Amino acid sequence: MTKYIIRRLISLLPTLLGVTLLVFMFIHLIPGDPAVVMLGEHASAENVKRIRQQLGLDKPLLLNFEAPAQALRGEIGIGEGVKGLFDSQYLGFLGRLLRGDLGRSVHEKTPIADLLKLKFPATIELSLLSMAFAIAVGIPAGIVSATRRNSIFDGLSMVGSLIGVSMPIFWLGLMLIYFFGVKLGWFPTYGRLPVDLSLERVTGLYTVDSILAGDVRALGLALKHLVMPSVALGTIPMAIIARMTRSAMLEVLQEDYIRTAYAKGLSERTVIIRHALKNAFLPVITIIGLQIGGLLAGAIMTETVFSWPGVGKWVYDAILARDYPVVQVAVLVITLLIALVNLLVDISYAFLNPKIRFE
Amino acid sequence: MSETTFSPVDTSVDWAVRKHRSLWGDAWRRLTSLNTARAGMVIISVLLVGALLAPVVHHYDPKTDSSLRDRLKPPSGEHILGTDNLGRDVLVRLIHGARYSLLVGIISVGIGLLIGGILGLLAGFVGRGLDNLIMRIMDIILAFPAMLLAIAIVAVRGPGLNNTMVAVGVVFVPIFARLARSMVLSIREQDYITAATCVGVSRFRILFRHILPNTLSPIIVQSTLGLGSAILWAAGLGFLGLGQQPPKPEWGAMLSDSYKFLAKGAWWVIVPPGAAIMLAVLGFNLLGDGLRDALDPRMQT
Repeated sequence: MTKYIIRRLISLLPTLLGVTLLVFMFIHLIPGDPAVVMLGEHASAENVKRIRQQLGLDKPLLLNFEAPAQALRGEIGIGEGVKGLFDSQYLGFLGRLLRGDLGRSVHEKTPIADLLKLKFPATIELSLLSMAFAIAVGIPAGIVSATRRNSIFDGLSMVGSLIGVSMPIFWLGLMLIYFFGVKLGWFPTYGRLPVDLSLERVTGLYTVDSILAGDVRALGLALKHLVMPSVALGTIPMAIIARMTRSAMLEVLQEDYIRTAYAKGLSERTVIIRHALKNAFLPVITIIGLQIGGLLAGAIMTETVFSWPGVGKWVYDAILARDYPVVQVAVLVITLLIALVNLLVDISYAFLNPKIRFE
Repeated sequence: MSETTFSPVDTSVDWAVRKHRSLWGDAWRRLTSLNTARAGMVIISVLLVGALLAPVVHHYDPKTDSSLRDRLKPPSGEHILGTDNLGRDVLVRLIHGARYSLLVGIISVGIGLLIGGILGLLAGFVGRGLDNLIMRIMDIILAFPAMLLAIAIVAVRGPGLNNTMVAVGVVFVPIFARLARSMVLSIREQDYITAATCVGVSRFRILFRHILPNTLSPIIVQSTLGLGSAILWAAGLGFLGLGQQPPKPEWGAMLSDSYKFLAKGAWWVIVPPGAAIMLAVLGFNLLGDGLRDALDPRMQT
């Protein structure tokens, strides 16, 4: 098992390196001088120079061949020449990343790492709750659909899940805001907590923080704020999980051991939960893992609609403000996180399925 | 067919000499027998008719189409779906907007199919180092979540319909590359390829005459489903203000234009564009699922 994990980690490395390279190249896709584009046409020459220097735009892209050439001509020492070879934009970017230095926002001048720490918990909290919603509704719906195949419930839930995967989540968000926020007034339509409520920040997850503070009112309010964004963000994964659970269950229910289990007089409940569900779970877990990527990307839409102060809204605001270092880091962090989650899913899959482990 | 006349029981169908049906004819018959696929075809036909006929029947100029006296009017006999914040008829804009969604879908799937298909065919057919190089690059692109990648590309290249199509197209490249490669790898092991090689058919001819036609059905399925996703992503970009720019009546941009008026209770500016996006995506998803079932040769029993 350890061997398998190590092998998977090593096979992930080239992809991760490629991802950093692509994210780095991102700034060079900007038409024109990135520094000027970021600061706007009326930027002072001084500011442009500062940004160019901060981003290292005056250095060569991948490798600095000038330094070894100088060393060969005897202008600088051999050691300096070799060291100078690696003095490039990309390697500098990579080196800073590895040291945990994510750079600075162009406009706010705050270190990006600090901003990230501030925004990240909001997105995590929203994603976790969305996933909880998707699983809590999707799996039971799939099971019932499979066991009552071709019933009215099956038909409705499958039509519902087809509509669910076809729905633009920002539109679903807007509809929820209209019905449950504006019309019925059940849930707040934006933000994580009312502005006048302050909560001591421990984890940054407001539900956890309010429990830690023993503040029941804050917990209720935090949950109320979470309901609509979570439903909006969780609907697509819910639909996909329901479809996957149904088809996995249908396949398992045809197996001989299910018939045997029924034949020896086990109750339907036991057969479904102990015999069928356990075996249908593998593909469902994989699909749940794969949805996490979609969740984090969907957070941009959901957070924008609900003014949720997380990474998604942060990226969106940064795009509008042309704050590309922030966009760069946020894209990188989200992508790396997804790669890690997928790795965890693979490992758990191997853990659950001995066939893969021993291949 | 003289035998049929001697058949003692059922003369209508003699299975031994059943009329030959082509692969595509069979697939079409199966497709039209599926209710879901039929529903998908109806939705897509309506969309196509709207997109193609709208400019013929009625010339629409979004720049001059505003009437401040009719701002945010609820649905009525005059304006079936009401008017938006500039007094523009929502239904008219909706019908003309179908063009953008279809255009983005077709062009971006086309980009992905062309580039990804060629890369995948090359990777599978040439193999070795090239295969490794191409597929590693595809893995890297696939590591990014689709929507995030599209947003990032449009963010640096600037908003607009052209960049939207390119961005969504790039997202499709690795998907089609993987599909094409896996098809080549599975087909080249088939006996008929060995047979063709044995009789001295050139590698080029094998690729184009023997392998390519057999990769078609999964590619058709993936393209149809891709059209749905492309429409969804393009609308998302439009909603974020990164896609087609107002006043052009793109559905995502229409939503982003008018969602501020939701608080005033103007539901009619929000419901129709979103429902249109959803129906279009649903149509392609239904047809794609139907095609998958219809084109699967294992279903021919």
